[in-house]
Amino acid sequence: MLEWQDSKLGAKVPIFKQKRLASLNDPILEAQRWVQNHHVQKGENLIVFSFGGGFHIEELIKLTKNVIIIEFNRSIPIKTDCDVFQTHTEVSQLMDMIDVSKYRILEFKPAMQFFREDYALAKWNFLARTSSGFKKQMRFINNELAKDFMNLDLVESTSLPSGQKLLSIKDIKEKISKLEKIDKDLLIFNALGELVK
Amino acid sequence: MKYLAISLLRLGDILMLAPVITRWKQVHPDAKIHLLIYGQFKFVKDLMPMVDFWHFIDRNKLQSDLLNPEVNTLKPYNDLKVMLSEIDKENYEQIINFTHNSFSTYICSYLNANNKWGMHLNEHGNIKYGNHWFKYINEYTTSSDEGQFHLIDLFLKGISLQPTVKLSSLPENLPNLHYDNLIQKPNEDYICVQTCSSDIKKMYNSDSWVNALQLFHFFSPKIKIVLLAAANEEEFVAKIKDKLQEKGIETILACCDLKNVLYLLESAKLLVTLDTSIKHLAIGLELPILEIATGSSHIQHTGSYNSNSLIVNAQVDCFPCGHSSQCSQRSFLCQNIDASVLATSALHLMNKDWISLKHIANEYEDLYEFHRTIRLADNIWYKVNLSADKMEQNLLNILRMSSWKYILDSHLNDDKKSFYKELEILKQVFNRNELFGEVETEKLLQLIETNHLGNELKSQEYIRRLNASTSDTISDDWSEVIDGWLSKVENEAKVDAYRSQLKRIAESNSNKIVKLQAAKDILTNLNEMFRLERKISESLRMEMMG
Repeated sequence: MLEWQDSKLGAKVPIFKQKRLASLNDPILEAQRWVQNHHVQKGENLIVFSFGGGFHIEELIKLTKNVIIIEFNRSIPIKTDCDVFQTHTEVSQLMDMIDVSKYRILEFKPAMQFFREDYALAKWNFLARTSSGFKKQMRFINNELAKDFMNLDLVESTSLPSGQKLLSIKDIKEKISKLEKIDKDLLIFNALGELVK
Repeated sequence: MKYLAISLLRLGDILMLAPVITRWKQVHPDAKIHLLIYGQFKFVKDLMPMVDFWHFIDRNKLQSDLLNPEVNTLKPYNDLKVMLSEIDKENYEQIINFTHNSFSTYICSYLNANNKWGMHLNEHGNIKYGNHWFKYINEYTTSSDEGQFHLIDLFLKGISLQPTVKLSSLPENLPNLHYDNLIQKPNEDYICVQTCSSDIKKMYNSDSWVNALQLFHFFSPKIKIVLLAAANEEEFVAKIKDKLQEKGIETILACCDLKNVLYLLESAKLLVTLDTSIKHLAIGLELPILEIATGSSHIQHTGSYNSNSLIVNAQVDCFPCGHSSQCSQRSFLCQNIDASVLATSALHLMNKDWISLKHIANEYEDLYEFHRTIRLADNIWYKVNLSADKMEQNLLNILRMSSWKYILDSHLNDDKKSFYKELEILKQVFNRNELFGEVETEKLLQLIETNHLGNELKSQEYIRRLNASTSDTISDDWSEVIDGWLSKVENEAKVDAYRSQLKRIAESNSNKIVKLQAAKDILTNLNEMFRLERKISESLRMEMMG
């Protein structure tokens, strides 16, 4: 399914199901422009969606070594020193290890034409816009509160969960009234819930 | 001492704090008062120089981030936490929450201070108010028509200050960008008109505005008309200006910020306005205001706070409606106020002709209400309904206010002293014939006492019945029975707040025993109110009889 084709300037570009995963003209220039457009800072923490031909990754690591790659297309051979995660289980494990809220998510769209739903779900998890993503990230913010959140039925739907749905926190309000001592972070969540009513 | 005041609602609510903070500083010149508001109202800083320092919460950014799928849901959490931590670095000794909504309650609860007034949660998550007046604001003014007090007076009482006639200190060096020509011509008198509101329920039809202003111009052709407009209101107001121009009437369209509006108001002869923040801006000026109250304008709480202004509203059952509720009618019935009535009212108000205004109030008493704003002897604000038929209701309302003041203040003062102070205020009210007309005082007071005695006995009977009941023996319709009785006494003494409290309890998930105890507490409070009013009335009558 995966084929390779020479770009006009000679670099090999992966082709998956007849679709190129990087520019066939000049994939390196494309990668440089992509990095430039994202205004990446030196040493910045990044999660990059899709490896593609890897040209953009090579450009990125000139600026920062803190790059994590998410690539759901397992047909693509990945040669890089960066950490790569390829399944939802692995992505979930990643979220247990690091506070992803401290990372910026970059999407290399030319290589994201396949597995779109997988990328979308991973992104929502990373952005704490799913119940599970939200709960996992809570552990890095307030571990005690995160334990309480584990049992809360946060409102979620099959469409993209927004802050509004997530923070429709009737459960949290009920919780606040049952606490022996109020957790101040819970007050902030309640306040935010009021803003999206 | 360093204080943080919280006002997290609308622009008008922030402006209502101007006289409160001014008074605060008069009494406590060393107090450092910081104010926390939403960032979208940052521009109000220039209008309130009495505030020592400002904090802002960027509500719009938090909201858009919460709803933006490209932003981490926890980012607004982190941002808000950082904002609040910055505020906490000030080490406030006292925080006062002047906004009784859930958001401000959580914010007030999060912040640290030795003392907190206004709605907040204690460390166990229980709602606290810090003092009786703030409890009153929450329980009797936010969801019912019970309270007759203006919010500014309630805020002042809440921070243990007595209202004063000197209201707000204006910022120095008001700018004038465009209107010097108008103001510097000594013979060119003008009125300012605010025709637009951000709330569609609080509007008044543009054709009616044209008709009213055309008539006003006919009566007073030499008075110039200045149409005020914020940038987003310019199109609406320009149409009114164009229509008036077609009729040969020249007006001035002043599209400007609040500081310029204030500059214009300083020399105006009259302000005609809807329920907008402009009227709160005019509080500190010697300027009569004609306020057209429609939609959710709760005039007793937020009406024009100066003396001798006029508030007009249509007599419709649904007025005032809730702030967030949609209009329940096919068309906005409360906005049907005849243009000629407004034009003549504006004219008489500008000429301070209250006798003519009383005549208008009597002539149209079936359609509209006309209220004159006054100060009672202790500077508490009140709106007198000018219709002759409402004089008794006015006096009953003021009696009710006295009872509340006595109850809420009595923990601070010597009981007898505050009781006689209220008697003195009421005596002066009864003596102000120019306002209240020739009411047969003794007869009215006797009627109050008889009715209240009946209500006391009835409430005691219900308390006895609730006392004797258990969760097994109490009938399911107990709350309906009490509600049925309360609905009958409503015309004689406003008991809406007690009814809504009972309803809330009846509908709550608490068990029957808890509900019974809560109902007993409410009835006991009501009974105490009847008893106190009867006692005040009796003492007043005895004193007046000599």
